[in-house]
Amino acid sequence: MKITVADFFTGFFSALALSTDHQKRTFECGEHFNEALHAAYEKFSEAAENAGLRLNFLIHLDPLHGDSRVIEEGIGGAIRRDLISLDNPNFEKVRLTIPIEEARENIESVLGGAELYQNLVAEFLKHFDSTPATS
Amino acid sequence: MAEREQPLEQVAAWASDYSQNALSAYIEALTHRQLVSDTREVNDPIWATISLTPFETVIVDSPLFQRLRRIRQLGVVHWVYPGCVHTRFEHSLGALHQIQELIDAINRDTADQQSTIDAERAALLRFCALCHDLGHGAMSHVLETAVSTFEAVEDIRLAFGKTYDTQPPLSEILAYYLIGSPAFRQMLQQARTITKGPHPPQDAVDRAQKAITGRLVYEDMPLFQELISGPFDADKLDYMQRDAVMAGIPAITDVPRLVRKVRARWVGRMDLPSRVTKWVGQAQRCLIFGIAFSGSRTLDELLIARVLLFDKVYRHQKVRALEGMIARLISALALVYKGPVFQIPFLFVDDTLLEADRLLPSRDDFDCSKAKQDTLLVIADICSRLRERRLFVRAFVFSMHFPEFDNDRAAHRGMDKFVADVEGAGLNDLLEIITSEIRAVASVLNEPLADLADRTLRSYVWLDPSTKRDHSEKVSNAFLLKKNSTLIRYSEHSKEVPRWAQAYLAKKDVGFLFCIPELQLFAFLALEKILAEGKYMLRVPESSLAYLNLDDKAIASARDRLHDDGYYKAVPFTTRPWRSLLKGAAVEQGCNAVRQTLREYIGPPGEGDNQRNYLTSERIKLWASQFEEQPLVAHAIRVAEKIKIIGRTDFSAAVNQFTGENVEFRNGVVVPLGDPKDSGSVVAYFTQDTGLESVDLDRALSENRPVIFVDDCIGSGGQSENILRDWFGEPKQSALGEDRRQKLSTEQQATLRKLPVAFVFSNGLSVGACRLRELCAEYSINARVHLQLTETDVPTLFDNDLQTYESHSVFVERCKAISRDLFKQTHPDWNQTKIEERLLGYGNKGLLVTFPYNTPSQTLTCVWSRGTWRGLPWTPLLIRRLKK
Repeated sequence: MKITVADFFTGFFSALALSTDHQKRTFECGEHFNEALHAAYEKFSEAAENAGLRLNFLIHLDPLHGDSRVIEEGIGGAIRRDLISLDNPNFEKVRLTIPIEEARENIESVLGGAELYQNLVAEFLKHFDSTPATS
Repeated sequence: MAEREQPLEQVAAWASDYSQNALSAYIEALTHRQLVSDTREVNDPIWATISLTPFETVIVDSPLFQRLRRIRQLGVVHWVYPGCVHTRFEHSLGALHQIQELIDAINRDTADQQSTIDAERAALLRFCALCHDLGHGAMSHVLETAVSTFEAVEDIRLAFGKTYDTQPPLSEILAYYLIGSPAFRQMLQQARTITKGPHPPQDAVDRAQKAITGRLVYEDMPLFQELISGPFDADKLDYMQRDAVMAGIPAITDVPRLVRKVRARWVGRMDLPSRVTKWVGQAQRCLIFGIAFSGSRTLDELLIARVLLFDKVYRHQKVRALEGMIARLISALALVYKGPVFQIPFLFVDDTLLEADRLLPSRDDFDCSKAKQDTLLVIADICSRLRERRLFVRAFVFSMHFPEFDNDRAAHRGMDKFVADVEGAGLNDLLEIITSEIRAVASVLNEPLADLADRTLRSYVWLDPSTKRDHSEKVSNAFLLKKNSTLIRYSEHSKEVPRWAQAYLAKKDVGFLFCIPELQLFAFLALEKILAEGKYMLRVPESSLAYLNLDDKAIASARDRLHDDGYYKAVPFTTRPWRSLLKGAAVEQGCNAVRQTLREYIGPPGEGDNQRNYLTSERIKLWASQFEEQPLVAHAIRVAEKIKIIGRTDFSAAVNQFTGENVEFRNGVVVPLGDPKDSGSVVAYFTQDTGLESVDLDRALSENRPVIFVDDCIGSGGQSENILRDWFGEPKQSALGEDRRQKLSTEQQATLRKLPVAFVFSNGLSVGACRLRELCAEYSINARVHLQLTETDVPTLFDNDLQTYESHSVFVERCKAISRDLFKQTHPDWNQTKIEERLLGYGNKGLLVTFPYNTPSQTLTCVWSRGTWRGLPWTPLLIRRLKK
C-alpha cells in the first residue's frame, strides 16, 4: 500500500479542485505555496502512516531557497497530466484545470480514502491563506 | 528512531568494509612513500591542462578513485552516441578544474574586499569537487535509478532525508559514507603526512560530507556548498560541456563567460534574504556568491542547454530502452544476490556488468542454484543482448498530448488514468496485466513466445513514463548580484525561463512501453486492447504510431486476425481497434462521400456527441465497424453512402409542386402540422422560401384563405390522425405518447371544413397518405394530401445496386438482429410483433433518408437507434430525437 509522488499530487489537486469556492481560484506557486504544502504534508504523512500506508517520498524544503524537488516534480507531473496549468506569462500561478467530475472520480478511488486528502487540502489552505512569509 | 537509522547503519557498515577492502593495501603502501611534492598536470580534451596538488594526487591514485575510470559518465549513452565513453574519472578532474575557475572568479571579484576564499577553504572545495562522485556505482545514474525503485533503497533515502533534513540521491548518500569511512579518513591523514600543502582543513571530511549532500558548511559562506551542488556548480559546468562535446552535439553553454560573470559580495546580516539569515546562525556578515545582474542570460543558456541535452542525449529513446534493459537486469540480479540491493552497483563496473552471467557462478555472494535457473537465464540473455546490441524496442507510446485528444475528453481522461497508473503505485499491477495480455495475443495469433515462461516474460517488458525530474536543476536558485550589492533571485527575475524549460520537456518527453523485438507487435496489440476497455476506454491515437518503428501492415494483418478470432468481442465498439478495411482508401472515399451527401446534417444533440463536427469519418467508420465481419462492415459503408437528406430546398419544392398543380392554393397560407415543438414548424419556416406566408392555425382559419399544412414526413398516418382527432375533440386512436393539442372551436371546425385544405409532406409512406385522405373524408374536410417523395422515390436497403452484393442478405439479417437487441433495450414494453414490424425502420421498408435536424423512424432502425448490441453500446450513425 504505497503512495507515490504522482498519487499524492493527483489526490491533492483533485481534492483542491473539489474544495468549495476554490475551483476558479489560482494559487501562486513559490515559497509560500511550498511552505503551506510542506506543513500539510507533515500531517498527511503522519495520518497515512497511521493508516498503514507507505509514502515513498519526503517533502523537504531547501532551507536556503524554500524550494522542493518533490513539489516541483509533482507540479510538473500535474501539468503534464492537465490537472493544472500555470498561467502565462510568468508561469507562477497554478490554475486547476481538472474537470470537477474527474476530480471527484479521482478522490473516490485514491489510496487512503477521500478524507485523507480532504484533510490535506484543509491543512494546506489553512497555511496558504495565512499571511505569506516574507522571503 | 532506531528503526529509521537501521538502513543508514547498514550503509555505513558497508561503506566502511568497502573502503577498507579497497584502500588497506594502498594506505599501507603510502606509509612507505617519501614526501610527494610535485604537482601533476593532466591533459584534458575539454579544459586542456588540469593541475592536481600533491595531496590530490594521492587521492586520485587511490583504488577507490581509480575505480571511476571504469564507470562511464553517461552509463549507457555510448551505445547511441559512440563518443560518450568518458568516465566519472575525467568528469571528476573536470569538476576539479571548474571549481578552481569559480574560486578564482570569486577571489578576483572580492580582491578589494575584506576576505576571500582562503587557501584552506579552496583546498576543501577542490577536495569536494574531486570526491563528489565517489558514490557512483557501475553505469552511474543508470544503476542508481534502477536500484532506487526497490523499497530497501527507498528506505535508505527516506531515512537519510529524515535524519539530515536533506534529499540527496543514493550516489551522494553513498559518497557521504565512503568518504566518512575510517579507511578513507586514514588515507587522507596519510596523504597530509606525505604531501606538501595546500591541504584542506583537518575537519575536511565532515565538511565535505555536508557539501556533497547539500548542507551548510560555513556560516559566513552560506552558499559555499552550492559551488559543489547548486545553480552553477562545478559539476554542472563540467558535465554540460563534456557531455555535449563527447556526444558530438553543439554545446550552447558558454562556460568561460558564465564563470566571468560570477560575483561575490559580503552582505550584512540585515540585508540577507530571511531564509538565509535563519541558516547562518550568528554570522553578522556573509559572503554571497551569485551571477552579475548583467549576466543573467548565461543562466538562461544553462537551462536551455540542459533541456536540449536532456531531450537529445539523456532521454534519447534508445538510451531509455537501454536503461530499461539495465533495470530489468538489476531486477534479476537482485533475485540472486544474497546481500542488500543498494550494493549491486558496487559489485560491478560497466564492462563487468555486461559479463555478469559469466562472473556469477564464481561468486559466493550470488545464489546460482538450480532453484534460480530461470533468473540466471534471464541474466544471461539480457547480458548477451547488451553485448550484441540487440536492444529493447518501443512497442507503445503514451502521452496526454496527442492531437486526437484535443476534442476527445473521454480519451484524454483514459490516458490520464493510464499515466497515473504508470507513475503511481499501480505500475506493478499494470505490468502483470500487460504481460498476461501479451501472452493472450500470441496465443490467439498462434505464435509461440520463444521459450519465455510466464515468470520471465515480465523481464522483457519495461514501462518508462515521461520524465519526472525537475530540469531546472537548481539554476532557479541562483542569486543575481546588482552593482549596489543588492540580491535578487534569478527565479524572481526570470520567472518564466525555468518553467519554459520544464514545459518544453513536459510535452516532448513521452512515455514508452519497451520490450524485446520479438514481443514488439504482441506488446503493442496487448496494450492497445488494455487501453480500449476497462477503466481507460480509449482508441490508440493514429498520431502515436509515428513514434514507433512498427510495420503498419503487420499491425493491420494481426488486428484482422484478432478480430476474426473474436479477441476484441468484449471491447466496446467506440474504442475497438479498427479492422484494416476501415483504414483503407476505399472506405475513406466512402466516408467522404457520405459526409458530402449529408453535409446539411446537424442532427439533434446526443449524449457525448460533438455537435459542431458530428458526422466525421471516425463516426461513420465506428457505425460500420459495429457490423463486425469484414464484408458486412464494407456493406455498411455502401448503405451509408446511399442515405438521402431531405432538406430546405426539398420542402420548398414539395409546396411549389403542389401549388403549381393546384392553383387555388397559390394565395393560401402555410401552417405547420402539429405543435411548435414538432418538425412541421421547421418545415413551415423553410417553406416561406416559396413566397407563401407561414401562420398559425388560428390565424389561418380567421383569414379564410386556403390552408396548406406542411410537415417533413408521414408514416402510418397515426400522428396526423391524432392531430385531427384533437382538433375535433375526439380520443386518440394510436398511442404515440404525444401531448393533447388544443381542440378547435365549433366555428373553427366549421371553417376548416369549408376552406380548401392541403397536407403537403416532403416524404412518407403511401399508406399514411391514404389513411390521412380517409380521415379527412371522415371529418368532411375538403383536403388534398400531397406526398412529394414516396417510399419508391427514396433510396432503401432493397435497392438493386445493394442487392447485387453477396453479403447483402446477411447484412439485412444482421440489421434485423441488431434492431431486435436495440428495441429490447429501448422499448422493453413492446411485444415481439411490434418489434418485428420495425426491424428495418417503421414499416420495414428499410428507407435510407434523413432530415437535417432529425431522422424519421421509417429509416433503417440501426441507422438511428441507440441501445446495446451483443451487450455493448450501439452507436447510431444518425441521431433520432425521441418523442417525450
